[in-house]
Amino acid sequence: MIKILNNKGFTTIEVILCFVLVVIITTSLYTTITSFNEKRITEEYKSKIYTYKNLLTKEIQDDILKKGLIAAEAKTTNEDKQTLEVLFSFKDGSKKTLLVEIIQAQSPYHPLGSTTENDYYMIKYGAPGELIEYPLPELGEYVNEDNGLTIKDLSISSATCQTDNNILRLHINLYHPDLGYRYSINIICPINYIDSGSLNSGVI
Amino acid sequence: MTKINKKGFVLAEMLIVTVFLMVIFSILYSNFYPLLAEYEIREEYDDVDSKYEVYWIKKMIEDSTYTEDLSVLTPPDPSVASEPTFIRFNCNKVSTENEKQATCKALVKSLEVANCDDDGNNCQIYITNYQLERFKNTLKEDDTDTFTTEFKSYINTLPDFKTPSLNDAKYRVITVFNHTMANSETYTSYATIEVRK
Repeated sequence: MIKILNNKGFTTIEVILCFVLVVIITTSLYTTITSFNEKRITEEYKSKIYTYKNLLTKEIQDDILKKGLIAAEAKTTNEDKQTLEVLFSFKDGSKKTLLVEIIQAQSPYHPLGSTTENDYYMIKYGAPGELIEYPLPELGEYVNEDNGLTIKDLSISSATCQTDNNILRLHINLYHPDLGYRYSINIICPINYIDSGSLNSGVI
Repeated sequence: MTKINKKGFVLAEMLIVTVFLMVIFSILYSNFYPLLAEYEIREEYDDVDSKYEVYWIKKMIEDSTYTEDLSVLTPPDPSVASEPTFIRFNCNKVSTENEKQATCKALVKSLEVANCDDDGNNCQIYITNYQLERFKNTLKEDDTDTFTTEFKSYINTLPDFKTPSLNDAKYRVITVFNHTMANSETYTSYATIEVRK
């Protein structure tokens, strides 16, 4: 059986036009997909930090709201590592301790970087002597080629606790090069708040 | 003998189809992209910090020493246009005691509530009915600078709360915060919580 085949082919202009169109579409798709991929990675980081921040905030705020904070004593040290220790006292007589430990290796990202040790960040919270560790989520790290120190992408840049005017202002500043300080942990509440009576159910 | 269609498409047809497809994809993309921006804005709505912070405003309003009469927000005939749909929270209404007012002033300042003056007045704290329908209508009709576009967007994302509160709450407090981060940059967040009174 003889088949009659179309042997016309394309003209040069048609081929060039098609080629140009394909290049334009591929380029725009590539840049779009790349930007979406970067966004996906950033969102993944955000999600991890959010989960961490929400968990820790809830642990502390639950105690403050349910037990009632009557005092908060803060002390800081700056020896082998920077630490912030806050002792919370509650109306039911119980106490909880929050301990923030910071060791910052030299890094252009860390304004306070001054040690010769690897980055180390830890937050501990719980009853005195029974502290539970809340390690920061792992969001990547790199080794500084100059000194061989490990620098973590997610760091605690500073931790402060003030109790002026009977208001607790606790700020644990989490820093990430892509996300800045937006996802820091902030606990602000009155100390020894006297409730003169309400229908409040304590529901948030 | 099989006959094969040798016609194919002409260049003009191909171009028209390609342009048509590109237009469709552009429309899809331009509709899809704002959703991402919307998602980013919504990060500032009822985030964990603001939610715990607005709780303390709620506590002060629920306190029996709070002197403002909230019953004006639940009039017998809510359809009357002149009935107020919101009340601004002021620290001088928290109590007649100076100590409680001082705590309120220090608290709203520490919580970084937007627009507060040194006396804890003019804060962007709005007490409304638990159901938000009337307040939403007020915002729709508002042509002054009282409410920002961002605030209106936040309120529009909230449900009307037509179903009565499980905690029998009649009112709602809505607060705007202007937070300053460690690097002195600021961001605005919004939060709401029901009020039992």
